[in-house]
Amino acid sequence: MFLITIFLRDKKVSEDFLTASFQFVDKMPPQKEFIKPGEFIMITNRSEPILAKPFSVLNATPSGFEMLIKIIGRFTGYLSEAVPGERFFYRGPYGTAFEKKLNMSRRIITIGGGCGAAPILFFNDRYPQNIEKTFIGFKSEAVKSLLTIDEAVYESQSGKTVIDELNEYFKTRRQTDSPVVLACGGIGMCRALHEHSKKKNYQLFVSLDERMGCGIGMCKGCPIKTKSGIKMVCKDGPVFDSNEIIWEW
Amino acid sequence: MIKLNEDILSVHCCGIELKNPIVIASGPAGNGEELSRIIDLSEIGMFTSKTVTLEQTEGNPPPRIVDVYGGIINSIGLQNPGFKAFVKETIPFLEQLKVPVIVSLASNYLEEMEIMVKAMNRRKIEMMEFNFSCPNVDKGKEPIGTNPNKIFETVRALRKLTKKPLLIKFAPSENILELVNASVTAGADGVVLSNCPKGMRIDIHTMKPILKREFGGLAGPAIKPISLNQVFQVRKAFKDILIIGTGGVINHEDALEYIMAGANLVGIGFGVMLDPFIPLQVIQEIRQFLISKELNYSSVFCKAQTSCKA
Repeated sequence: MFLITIFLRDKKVSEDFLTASFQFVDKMPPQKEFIKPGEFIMITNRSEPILAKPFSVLNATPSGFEMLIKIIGRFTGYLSEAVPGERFFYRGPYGTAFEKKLNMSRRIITIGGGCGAAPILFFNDRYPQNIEKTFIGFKSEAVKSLLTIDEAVYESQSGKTVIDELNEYFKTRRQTDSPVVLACGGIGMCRALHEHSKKKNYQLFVSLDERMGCGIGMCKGCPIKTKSGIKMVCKDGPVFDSNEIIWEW
Repeated sequence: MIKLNEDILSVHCCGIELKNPIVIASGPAGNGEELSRIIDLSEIGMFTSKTVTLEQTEGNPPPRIVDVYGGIINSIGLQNPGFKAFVKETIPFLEQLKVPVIVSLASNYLEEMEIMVKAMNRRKIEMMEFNFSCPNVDKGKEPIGTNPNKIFETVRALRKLTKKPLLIKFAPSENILELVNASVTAGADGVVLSNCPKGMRIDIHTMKPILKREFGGLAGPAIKPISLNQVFQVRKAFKDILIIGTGGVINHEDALEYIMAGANLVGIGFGVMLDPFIPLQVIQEIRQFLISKELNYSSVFCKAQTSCKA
């Protein structure tokens, strides 16, 4: 069957964030990788005609997966009120894994903003040998009661953004090679990082979040303008070299 | 007792024998490349291409989709690579599909439509749909689809260029009978009812429209009662034309309502985005419904009309 049944195992809510863990009906075979960092799945509850929503995962095991979600719309609102045991469905994974777009022989600085922290932490966990440094930024401290993130920067507490932290890091960085940065977060953060990358001369890959329709490239609902034409965030991304993107559209 | 076979769903229209009355509507399923990797398209009655324009169309900037109760508002803007690339790259794919194909064409200029219609004569496609009603292009310009005289002139000129069945796609309209009459009098074989009516949403935090073009096309179950009534009214007035009823079909009940209202065929668009398996599920569920009632397609077609022949 195309839609795969999952059950909500547990969830925690703090202001506008929630963590939710889901379990598969049947365990994945140990050798089968359910999802790679950078890929996403489309989740629905099928109880009303809302399009399935794209989510990346925070971590995955053969028995299930965990997500960090910002409560912003009807479906995420529904998820925040769902009770353990409730049935959901997913299809996927879709999109391109980070490892397919990045040069994995290099070490990478990773940056996550808000719920964009999820795929970054997942990537860090899967490829620790590739991580040069990580910055995870949140506007408020709400997420503290849900997750312990060692690399987290809380803007409300420190007044600093991930870009401020990155600037400080660059002052002390000893490596002589040009840095490579992988970032996932809102469009504002990605755009600001793109400007920053031009000034500081580093290669930036951004994993974008866009309202999606089908999730597989057919409906043309999640466009991004690039130097090689209009691409779909779901099928051609979600990760892009920021230099390829035409940011003003 | 009716036997469990394909025949109870088969439909004959415009000289073409279809397995069943379910059509993939133009738009959400693209040109079938992705969908064909998920479902067996040969199980579907007919497939409609994404609307193509003569020149490449970039489409609208994001966001292109916002949720509403009972569906979405979309503002795709007919993104397509243009007719030349479509003929070179997409038509060969559509021709090898084991399903009859409708190619959807759009332009506000007759000369552009003429070029595309003529080129389609040489290709293995079964029908052409003229999308004169996309809400998401040519801001400030009246689409052909709202002006009966313009429709008549355009369709009459295009009719002379092809023997293939021609369908005109309209958005819901108060003067739908006038628009359909203009199309049919000019030689169209049928109509597709309905394209997305315009809708919008406003972000109460920014106090601005969510879509960059302010409005988009409302799609999904929210428009089904409106589109169903358009089908019903058009069938009442035009007994013999081909009608594809589309708008908000996500299950067999929706599809059967359209058929009973007088739609020969039923298009699924939004439903494919909701779950790409919906078209196959709808076919299966219609079959089960008909078998359980000992009916077939002909015995439910148009049955909500008081005077309608099957």
